[in-house]
Amino acid sequence: MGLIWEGFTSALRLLWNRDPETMEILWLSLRVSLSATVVALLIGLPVGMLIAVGRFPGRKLLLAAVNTGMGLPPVVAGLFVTLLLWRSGPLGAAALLYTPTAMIIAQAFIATPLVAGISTAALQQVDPEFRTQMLGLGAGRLRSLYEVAREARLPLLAAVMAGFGGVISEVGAATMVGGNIKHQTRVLTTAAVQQTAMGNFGAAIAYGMILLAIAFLVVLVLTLAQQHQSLWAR
Amino acid sequence: MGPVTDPLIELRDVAIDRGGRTILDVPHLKLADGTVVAALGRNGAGKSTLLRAIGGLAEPTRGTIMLNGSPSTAGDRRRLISAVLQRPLLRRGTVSSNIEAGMRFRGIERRERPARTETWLKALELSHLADQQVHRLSGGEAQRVSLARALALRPRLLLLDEPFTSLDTPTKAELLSDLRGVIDKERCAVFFVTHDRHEASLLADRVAILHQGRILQEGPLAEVHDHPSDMMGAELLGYRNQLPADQLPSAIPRKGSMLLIRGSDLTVGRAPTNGWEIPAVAVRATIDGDAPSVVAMVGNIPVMARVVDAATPSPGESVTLHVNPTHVRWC
Repeated sequence: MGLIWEGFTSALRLLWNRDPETMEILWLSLRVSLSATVVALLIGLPVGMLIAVGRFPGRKLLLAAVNTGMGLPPVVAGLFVTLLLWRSGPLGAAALLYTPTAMIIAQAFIATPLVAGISTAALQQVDPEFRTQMLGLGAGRLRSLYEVAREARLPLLAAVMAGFGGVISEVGAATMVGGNIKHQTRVLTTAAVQQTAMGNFGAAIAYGMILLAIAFLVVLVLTLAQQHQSLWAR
Repeated sequence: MGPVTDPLIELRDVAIDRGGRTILDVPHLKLADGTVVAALGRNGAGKSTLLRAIGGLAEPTRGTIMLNGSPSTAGDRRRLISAVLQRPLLRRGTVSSNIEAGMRFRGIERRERPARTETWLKALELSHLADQQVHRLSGGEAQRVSLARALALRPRLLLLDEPFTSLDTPTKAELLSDLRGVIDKERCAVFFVTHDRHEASLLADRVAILHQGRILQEGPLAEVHDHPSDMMGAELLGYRNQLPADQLPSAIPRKGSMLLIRGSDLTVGRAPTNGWEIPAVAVRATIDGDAPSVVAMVGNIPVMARVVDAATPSPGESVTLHVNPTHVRWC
């Protein structure tokens, strides 16, 4: 019991004093995972739209691929990106392995199917005739797609949150392609693993609490958005 | 721009295939400014498909759709239309924001929008709901918003895809008469899809009878109504009583194998001048629209006749049915 209490108080101290190393790790985590989420949105949302609205051969195959990807183990994504970026690999010349960029790429691999899958479901909830109706009022093709997304904006927010939540909390890929290098690629999850292994429970608990706070924030934003329909009505 | 005489829209050999089947095949159809054309047909007759082809919301597999006398693309036509579909598909938000949305799509100037919105809210008696969230509206109110949104664009061509189907009868009648007034004022061309001949006769100038993707007959409302060219059209236009010639008394001059009679032209009670008479047996009393009527058997064929200036016959009673021969059809 003493061990836990001690760890907990030292964690609070680290956070309260804004320990420079902890802050550095937090900002890198946010930077990597938010960037990966943005990349995942840029790819996943159009893919979701394509599957939800489009009618083309191979559509069901693509949907199956996306759904499979939603369960992609981070370690597999990490392995794949490591192979891609390995010095003698196809993209080895770019020397990206063990950089934050590599982590963003790996995490985007994890988040894109999540965003694509959930946005497909979200966009399919919109009446299929809705887009026809928007076209029938003079909306252009792109505008009509935007209008469909606008109708589904609440469930689409869930897609964003799921993507971000999926990558901020993963450790496998971040370790493999980042390497947990101090001041360079150390993020909350990899740092927590390392500090636990070293018996530094205070730091490990501090990182754990920050992760928990981020998870709580994600859920809070979602809940508020769902509860305040009127805020989203216009 | 072609010569002044060109109709707004003209379909030439337009066909649409789906899954290896031709679901629409229209050799020719014209839509002119200020004219309401109703497409009348059963479910699955291809009415909505035709509406979408005309409006540029579905691509024809073959054929040309002329716009002011020149071949047009779907995009060209989408620029002049506004559509009201069967279900009111409103965007999230208020009634006003919905009406303004269409104007925004069309690039109507920002400062012009509020005044136009107000005008159309008033025209469709929605002013008190301007700031209401659309998910709080009743079905009838939502459909009015959908109509106001379409009309606020002041389209050259208004497309109505059974927009009144989900409304109750009094709401429908009121909305239809309001709408006809608006259309007359705006002088736009209207293509109106319905399966209800009453709606068609309240709104349309011309009627096209659609069956299995083909236009069986097209012409002025009164002409099509009084002279349907075949059984399908006759049925859609209310010639609900169909008697095989061999069931008829010999006094009736035969001009085909089947006699078609509209509900209002088959009566019990006061006899019309020069009417035909058919003996029958009353089965039960009923109401047709608002007219007292009786279901009767002619041989083994059931018919429905209006009761005019007489007591409703009791079940089992022998009656004489009077036929007004002016509008009967033979097939």
